[in-house]
Amino acid sequence: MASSIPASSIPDGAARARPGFAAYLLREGRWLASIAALALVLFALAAVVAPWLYSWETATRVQLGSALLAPSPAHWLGTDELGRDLVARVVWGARITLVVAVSSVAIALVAGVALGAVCGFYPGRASSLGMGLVDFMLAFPRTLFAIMLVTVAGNSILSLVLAIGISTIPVYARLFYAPVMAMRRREFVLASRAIGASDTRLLLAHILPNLLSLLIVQSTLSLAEAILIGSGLSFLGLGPPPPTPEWGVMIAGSRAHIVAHPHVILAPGCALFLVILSFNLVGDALRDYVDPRSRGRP
Amino acid sequence: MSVRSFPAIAWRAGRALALAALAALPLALPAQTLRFVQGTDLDTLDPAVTRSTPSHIVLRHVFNRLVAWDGPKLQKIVPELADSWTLSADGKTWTFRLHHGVKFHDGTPFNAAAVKANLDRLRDPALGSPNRSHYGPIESVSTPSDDTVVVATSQPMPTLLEVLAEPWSSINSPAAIEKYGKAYGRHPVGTGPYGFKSWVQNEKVVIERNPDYYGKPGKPQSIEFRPVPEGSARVIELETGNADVVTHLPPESADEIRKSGKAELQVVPSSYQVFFELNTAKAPFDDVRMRKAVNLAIDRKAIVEKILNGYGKVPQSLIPPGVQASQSFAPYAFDPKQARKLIHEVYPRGFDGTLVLWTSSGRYEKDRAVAEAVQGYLNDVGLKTEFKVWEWAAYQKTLYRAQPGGTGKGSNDANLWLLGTGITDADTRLRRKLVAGDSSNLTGYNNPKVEALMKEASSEMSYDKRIAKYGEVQRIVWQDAPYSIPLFDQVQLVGVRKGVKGIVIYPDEVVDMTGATLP
Repeated sequence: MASSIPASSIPDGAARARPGFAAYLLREGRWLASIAALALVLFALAAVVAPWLYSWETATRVQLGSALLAPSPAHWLGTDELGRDLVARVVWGARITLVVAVSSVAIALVAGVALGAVCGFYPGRASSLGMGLVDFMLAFPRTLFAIMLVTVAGNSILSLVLAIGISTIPVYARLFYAPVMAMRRREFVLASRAIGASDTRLLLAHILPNLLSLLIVQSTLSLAEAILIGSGLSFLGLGPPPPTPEWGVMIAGSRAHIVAHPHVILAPGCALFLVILSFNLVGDALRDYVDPRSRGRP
Repeated sequence: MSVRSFPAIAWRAGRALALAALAALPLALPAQTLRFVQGTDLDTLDPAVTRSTPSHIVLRHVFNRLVAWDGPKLQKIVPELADSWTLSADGKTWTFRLHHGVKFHDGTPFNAAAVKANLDRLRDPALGSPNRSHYGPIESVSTPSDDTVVVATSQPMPTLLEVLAEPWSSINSPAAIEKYGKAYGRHPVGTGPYGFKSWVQNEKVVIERNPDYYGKPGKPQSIEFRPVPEGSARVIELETGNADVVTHLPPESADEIRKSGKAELQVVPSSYQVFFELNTAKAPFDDVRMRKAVNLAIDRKAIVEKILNGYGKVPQSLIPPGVQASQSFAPYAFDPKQARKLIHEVYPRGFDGTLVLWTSSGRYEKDRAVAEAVQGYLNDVGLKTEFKVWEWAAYQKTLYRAQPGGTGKGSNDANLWLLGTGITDADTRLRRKLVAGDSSNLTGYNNPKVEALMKEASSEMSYDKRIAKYGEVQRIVWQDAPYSIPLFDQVQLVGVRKGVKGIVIYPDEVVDMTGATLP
């Protein structure tokens, strides 16, 4: 998706000259993406203020007396099989999901961009070896990697973050390898080199800032993917242990009640669906926003 | 007859035949095979080695034992391959007279030598049977004649008949054991009403009616056993008519199955009890007051009603009703205040460690959800917990792994862990958990009073007196010195397709389908 942006088409410093993304969305009339962006803001807000809305206690304390209640004014989304309020659990789940997604993408981004940029900047035998390693990692099944990691490190949010983060590194490495390689021969880079700029400076101050838009788009999509993989792994029992209100764990636990009490599985299921859909919609809009060829298109 | 009428008649006759054949086909074919679906696949079909119920269900049809229980109520032990038996005055020599004219499925004759070969194999440490300890008091097995087996024990062994009625005492063909060696577990040969036909791992096991069976022949032509791990998938198998008998149905699907009208839901008492064992070898559960406290902290009634949908029972002893030597005491009260008081007595400033709590997921009825509820109750009385969900095979391996120090088991890394047992033989059931040094005693429980009673029971030849001793052991453990948190007695939910009759379900969850008739 994002890798289809030819680096050469991105004019130097273009990102700085544009109107804001929000203004762009409204001006272009991209209502779906606008709603998705709003949903993401709400999601992030919920994640941040979760502890002030509901205590950890509310989200995790077992109260069998009120198990499997249907949605009502007291419990907007009802309660789960152990009597815990589903709104509280979904909101806390948002916080955990956000933490897992952001930190795993951060790991992948830093390591992947560094690897891809260095390999692209210094082509040669070592860089071929590095990219070979990246190809190997791409071919390695993510779930299997996660199972191995969890077996060694134990069930926890940290293992989940590491499993997703490490397995996403190749995406960024591949994405940055070619543009960096192309850009190191561009005139403005050569000019800087001629006035004596060091390699580090060339990479950090001249090449990478020009690929920032690429990074933003890819990260939006990676976040959606990280959320999906994270909840998938948790669903399989590779995520944080109970009573942590992780969405995947919640879906796994409520599967048995899908016929008699569908609200229990719908609450985390819909939250997951909406967040991932929103990330993808916003990601698409962002790509159009940063890709100059698509500007002015309806 | 006109010229034209002949083809017309022939056509009609042919059509009638074809229709009859068509009508007969779907009726005749399924009537041959009974399809049984359970939650887990088998480990092995070698009766001496397996200790899992899914295997025992298949073995019940393929094998006979020397003696057997008279039915699901387990009232009396009756002859099976042995016609009669006598016990010497000193209580140490048993003489069994064997049934004549019995042949194994491979044609090997069943005789005294075969029985001796089986008992010797079970007792041989080289086989490494997990059930070997039950045969400990047996000193020698001799064969004075072709139809007589004499079992000599070092001390009076009142449990011998009960042990011989266990599935692991099934009599295998010695020739087949010889022939297949290590692979015998995949080619079992017995004397039972059904002969083993095939086993594709994780797919199905097929057994076929033994035409030469010496007893009452089986009714279905063949029986097929399939594992379907997912509870809701098993419900679908039943509702689509894809299976005739389905075990371990999830409690929340009970109403749905009843309403569907496609199957009958049988609710059968089970000998299975699910509990958390407590590590008595280290703090905080080395103090009996802490063990009592956690027992008071759990609302079992809520667990049964809310999590198990009412399909379970609040335990009244370590051995559920309907099983040998079962007692019924007052259930533990749900009294968090008293629990807090007891904890305060032992740890005036509160227990500051974290309780490590292990559970399986999917092995017992709603095990993981129940464990989560228990975690909640423990937190409510001020105990901090750490939760770990295990995959069953790794869980078993870890728990039973010998380890130096502490309880001497892999369980030493945890404070409490969820397990269940369905053993119907009181002696085995209590001994393995409560007698110090037994390889299944994971908690490090060591109580001189219990120890003495179990020792007395092991050579008490009067059945009633022996059962009374097991009763006393249960009382002590229940009222004075618990070793676990009993959570609930399981109830079996078995779905039987409409019109299928003659299924017999035992409390240890073994299903006998020999006499089953299909619609």
